[in-house]
Amino acid sequence: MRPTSTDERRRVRFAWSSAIVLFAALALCASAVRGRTARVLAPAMGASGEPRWTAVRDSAEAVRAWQVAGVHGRKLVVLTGRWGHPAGSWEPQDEETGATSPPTLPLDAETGIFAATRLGIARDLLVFMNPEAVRQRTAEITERKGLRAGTGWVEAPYRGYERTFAIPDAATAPEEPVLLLVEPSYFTEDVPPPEWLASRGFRFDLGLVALEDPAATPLQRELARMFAARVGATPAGGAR
Amino acid sequence: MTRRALALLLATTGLALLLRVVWLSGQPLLPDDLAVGVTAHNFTRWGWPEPTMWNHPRLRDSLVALSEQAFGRGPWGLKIWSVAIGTLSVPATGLLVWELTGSGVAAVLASFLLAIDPLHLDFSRQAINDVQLAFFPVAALAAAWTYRRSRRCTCLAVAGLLFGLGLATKWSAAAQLLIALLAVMGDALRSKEPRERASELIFVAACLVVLPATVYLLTYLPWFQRGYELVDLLQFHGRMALETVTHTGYGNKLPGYLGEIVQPWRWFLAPVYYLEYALPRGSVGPDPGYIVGVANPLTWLLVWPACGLAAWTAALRRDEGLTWSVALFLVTYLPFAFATRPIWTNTALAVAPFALALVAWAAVQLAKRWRTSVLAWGCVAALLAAVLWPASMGFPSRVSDAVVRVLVPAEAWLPRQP
Repeated sequence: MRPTSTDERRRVRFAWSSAIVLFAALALCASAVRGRTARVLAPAMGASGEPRWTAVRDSAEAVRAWQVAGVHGRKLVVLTGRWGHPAGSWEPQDEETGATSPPTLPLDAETGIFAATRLGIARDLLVFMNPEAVRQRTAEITERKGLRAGTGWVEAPYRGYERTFAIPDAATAPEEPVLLLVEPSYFTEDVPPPEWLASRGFRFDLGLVALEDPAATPLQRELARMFAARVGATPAGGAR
Repeated sequence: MTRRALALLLATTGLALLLRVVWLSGQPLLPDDLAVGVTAHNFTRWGWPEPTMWNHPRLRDSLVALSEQAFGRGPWGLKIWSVAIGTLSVPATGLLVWELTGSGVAAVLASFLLAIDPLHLDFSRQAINDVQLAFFPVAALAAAWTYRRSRRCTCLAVAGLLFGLGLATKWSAAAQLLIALLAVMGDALRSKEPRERASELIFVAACLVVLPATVYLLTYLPWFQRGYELVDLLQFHGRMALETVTHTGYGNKLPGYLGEIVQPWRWFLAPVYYLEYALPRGSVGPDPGYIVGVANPLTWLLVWPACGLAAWTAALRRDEGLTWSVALFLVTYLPFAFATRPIWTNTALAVAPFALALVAWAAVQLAKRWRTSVLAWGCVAALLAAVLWPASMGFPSRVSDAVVRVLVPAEAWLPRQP
């Protein structure tokens, strides 16, 4: 029934406006809560709440380790000396239907980081590399849309997904704890050992040390093993 | 609208539905169709808007994920929304034309031209969501104009809801939202009583600004499950906007977009088409081949003359509804026509209802003097559309194939990498 008097019309409009504003407020709250509650930290080790270190074979196994730990929606810090260039894309597979987008790539050391982003494990990516690797990476993506660069860092979103490549000196710690992955190719003479992260204010709940990556030399693999032993990393399934 | 006009509108809708469902299960799937299903799954499950059009809004993903749950990952699960919404765009166009011009005959004719258009038919049978832009903004405008006439609050709230769904389909719906805002706010500002004016303005802002924005936000709920915050959504939209204004295509394109129509200024000046190759034999459907939607040249090439006649008549008669009709066409079309990056023919679906509305109105005016000629034109246009339907369904037909190959240039048939 249509309101007849001016006052009644005004009352109806006010009721509608209030309901819509309330609906909008609820939607905003729902979005904020959904985002916040989606960030899942790894369970702390022991009563002291120390971050857990795990040794994994490569970044593919890192993805499995993150899935086992149940972490999700996190900022991921990767210390590496290389960047994977898979010829194609890795897409999530549904474990129930096995549905994929053709053509897809297997989960391996080249696609591991992509997989972590697509599965929502990592919502944001900070990659720290030696200066030469950052220069090389910057040169590769210099034509990309939305690129922003400063001294020792380049912000290079991938289809809207936030990624930053930087040298350790250009690091700024986020307020929240991060996930950490250290790859062997990170270990070069011109970068500090991974402990620099703590001194720069980075906090993490789960640190993974990959013992292999496609660009690593035998010496770098050895350095990665020594680092894993130094921090007391426990081996995950496939790490030897 | 008279009962007769309503009955005809209903009959046209029935015809539209029939054309959109017939042989749907047999129609070969396109790579786009499968990618839409995968994207729906990726987005609703992981908040990952890939592989299809990450830079566009995401209503389609939630809809397709729902229909896949109900109908499975086949043609119906992937395409039911396009079929339903493509069909609904037919009566929505009729209602809008009736609200704007008051002509039941023009309303029915506009609906009919849209219902039988092979390009509209093609995209009503694809999983990709372009045809939804021929419905949500059009239905929203019809609801907004109903509000202007009736002052029923529900109508404007429905308009806001539909505009929200339109924006969550593609941002181009903002053009029609702007027109609705101008019209309804204009009405509000004419009120001489300050309290009445303020109350109306607040209500309009709630319905046409807050409500669409809220509906839009809700379509991003799956994205928030990646751990993002509202400020991240703004940043992401900055990235989306950059990609959208500089977009030059996703797949492997031949040099110079050979064989593709990427210039919207051609839409109403030359025959236009959208051609895609179906998936290889053995995957889905009985026959490998192509699906090509050719916009009916006997209606699309009349858009500019019709627009000129409508603009002239609107100025002469100071006809508000006709002025809005012309404005809607221009405001929807010109941003595409003047875009500096390639715009493909699928985008023309957003303009088609407003363009064909002008053609229908002009035909009705001309029929007052040249009834037989207009009737003959209508029959030939319908016949040509019917000949083009099989090609837009991927249905093997020698006649359709022969006509299509006259209208679509040879370079369009060059094989492209999937």
